Amino acid sequence: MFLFRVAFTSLAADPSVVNLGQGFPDIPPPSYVKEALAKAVSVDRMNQYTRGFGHPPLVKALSQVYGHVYGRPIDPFKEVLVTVGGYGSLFSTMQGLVEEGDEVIIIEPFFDCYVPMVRMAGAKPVFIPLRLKSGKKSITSADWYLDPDELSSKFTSKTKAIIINTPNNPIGKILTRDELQMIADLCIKHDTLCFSDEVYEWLIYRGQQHVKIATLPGMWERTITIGSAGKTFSVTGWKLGWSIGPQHLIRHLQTVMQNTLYTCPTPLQEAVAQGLMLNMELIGQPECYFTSLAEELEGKRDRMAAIVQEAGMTPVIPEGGYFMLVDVSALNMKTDDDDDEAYDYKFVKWMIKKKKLAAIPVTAFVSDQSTKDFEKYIRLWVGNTYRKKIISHIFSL
Amino acid sequence: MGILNHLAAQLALIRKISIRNHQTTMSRRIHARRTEGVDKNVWVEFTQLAAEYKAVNLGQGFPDFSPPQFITEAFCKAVSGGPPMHQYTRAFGHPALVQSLAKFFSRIVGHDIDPFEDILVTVGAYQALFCAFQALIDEGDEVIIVEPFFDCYQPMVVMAGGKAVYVPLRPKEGTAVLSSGDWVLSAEELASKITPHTKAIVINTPNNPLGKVYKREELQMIADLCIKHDLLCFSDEVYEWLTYDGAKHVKIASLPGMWERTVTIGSGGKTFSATGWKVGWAMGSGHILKYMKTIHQNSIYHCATAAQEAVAQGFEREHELFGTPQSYFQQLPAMLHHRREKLASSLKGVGLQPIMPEGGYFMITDISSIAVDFKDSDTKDENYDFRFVKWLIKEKGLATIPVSAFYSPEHSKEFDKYIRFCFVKENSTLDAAEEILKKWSQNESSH
Repeated sequence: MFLFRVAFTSLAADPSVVNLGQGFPDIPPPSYVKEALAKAVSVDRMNQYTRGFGHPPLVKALSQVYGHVYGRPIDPFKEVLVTVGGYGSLFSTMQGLVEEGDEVIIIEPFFDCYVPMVRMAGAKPVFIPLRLKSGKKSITSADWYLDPDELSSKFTSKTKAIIINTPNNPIGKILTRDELQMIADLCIKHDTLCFSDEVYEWLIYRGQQHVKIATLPGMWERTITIGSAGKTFSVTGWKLGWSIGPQHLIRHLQTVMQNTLYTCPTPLQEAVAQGLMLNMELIGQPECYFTSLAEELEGKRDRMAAIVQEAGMTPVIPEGGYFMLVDVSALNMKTDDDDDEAYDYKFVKWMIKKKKLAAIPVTAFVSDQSTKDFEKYIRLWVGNTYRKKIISHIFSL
Repeated sequence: MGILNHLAAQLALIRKISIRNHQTTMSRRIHARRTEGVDKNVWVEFTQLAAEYKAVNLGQGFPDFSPPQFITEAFCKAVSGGPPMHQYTRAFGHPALVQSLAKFFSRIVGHDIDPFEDILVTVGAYQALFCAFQALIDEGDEVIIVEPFFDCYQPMVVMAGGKAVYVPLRPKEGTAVLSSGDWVLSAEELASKITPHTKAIVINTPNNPLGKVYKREELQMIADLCIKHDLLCFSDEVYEWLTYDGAKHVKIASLPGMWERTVTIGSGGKTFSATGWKVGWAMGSGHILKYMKTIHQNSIYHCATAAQEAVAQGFEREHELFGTPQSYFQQLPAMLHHRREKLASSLKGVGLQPIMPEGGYFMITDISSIAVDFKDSDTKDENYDFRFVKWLIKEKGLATIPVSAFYSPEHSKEFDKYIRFCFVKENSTLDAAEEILKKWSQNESSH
């Protein structure tokens, strides 16, 4: 995926190319969050070092918001770590809890950094793909499932942890309570940890429910749950995230933090704290950003799906998250590119060159053994539809 | 039959629940071994203590005055910039920032720095150090660290699987040790520490905690050894703009044969008195930086955009004003020169002997002439200066940092009679510290 990003970023950086690939919004963040940041910078103390494991107002706000969501008290100083994005939480978790000789189960398709991080920690990634229900013309992300026997077979005595991502990037699948229970049962049976990447936790579309695996019985004590200010408030460029879990796990992440970058930027943490407290008051109301963003994106999701269908392709309607898979096989596009390359890579290159439209090939999110199952899909970011005229035009293939 | 079915169902349910509740904590080792031995941290410990006792804080190195207006304005301007200011920027460094850094430093280093190949932007200089150790130090490598050293170098070497080898700066024989310039590195002693396993040497100039600014000849001596033994050099230069009494900061990377083997580390936080922004960088030849980029992209990937934009604007301004009286790089050391004098005179006024720093944020002072009854059996096994600093926080409400924290375990007992003060503070803070020292001194003399 990194090779992809390096190779394609320059192609897609051409200003005449409409980039539907990147995972960041081009909608502005809520104004109160920007105002809070500007205000923080005007306070002297906010421009200097804060507490290493998390700015006190922020960890307290996280403890309140998530205490409410989890239905349990969360100690802001011992059970929360603030990191540089969800990415930084993943890194601190791997470095703190995973080492040589360990195996880590990764569900495909996966956010691409999981594999290099597992490898950097000296461990071995073990893959299990989400599978498409047979006989179904794929329509929604719910049509992908984890085979219980297959999953069970991946757990060995070396398994240290399983990484789950719900809502999932790139498919948009939200793991159901039953699916999470199945994973939890295996974690408990085999005495493993669970790293739950929930950065898209608020981007849940109508009729869906996000369940935190850490709230299932026996799971709090073995789960690290990762969240992201960037995805929560549409400020990916702030690079703030957090890990929440029991003290006996979080303290190892804190050790990593104090030996890697020590502390995160203060004014950004202050502004996020204020954004969280403001929305905490609004939970249940239409202005609450935790729900209003999802509503806004859902409309865009549906419009994007319609455009894609008009262009003769098949969208996979996501239950949550930023992205939508698109099945491009109906176009039957032939390229004379390198035959060894996966179809989706060839398709995306062609689309950038000929149609000035950039997307991400989904096989960038899977291991080699699963390439054949995913190479007919590309990943789009759902929110870009204010440029839908351009997109329709470009998509008229 | 109905009752039996009912009972069977109940038993199945009970069995299911007991499996779920059976192992709620892990029975095997949870943590990765790389976290062992690196979990204690002097800053976490003493920052907490200073806060708890609401001490006058001359401990941790951050200004308690505001950053210059032009830099906070640049940040606010970035914040009110368009949506791109709040989304991911280029992972290895925001283009505006790497370009302004390359432009600014090329003429200082005397080398055409490529903004995209030769620079990596990081979350503070701290993360640049982490990337350097992770990328370039392997199991079995030795890293020479000059003592006293910023404490994070040692755990970072350990975490990378390397072995730290120490060589101390020593006070010159036969002279009164009044300045950081009186602490020197012995060329023979340094050369004796080099083995076939030595991969790199870490230097910090201006030095934390001592304040030493290495002279050109001293850097040349180190450079000669690096070239002779084909070593890398990690040069931590976060205080590069803070030199006093005419001392000149020299970049070892500018010496012949050194650009290709040196990683130079800098800090937006220390440069612009905004330590809480956590914008730092590593500069060096692309063939070395590329490995650090790999570490960066697998650990953090992006740094915050708006803060980088603001620091870029800061460097643009300083590029225009370089060498003139309006330059912040002239004004800040001039202001701190006076703060340095003020603190030194407060310490001398109560009979303490500070070592005047030629550069940086800090001043160390010898406390061996003070007799204190600690009464605190909890700290009995700790180094003298640790006990002293804790006592000073709790009993006198003055926070400092024990200097043996900046020494290797092998040498810490040799250097446990010094404490470190940060003088980069408002006059009112330094006045409050002086009050405490005066009162303490009066109490002593009345016994």
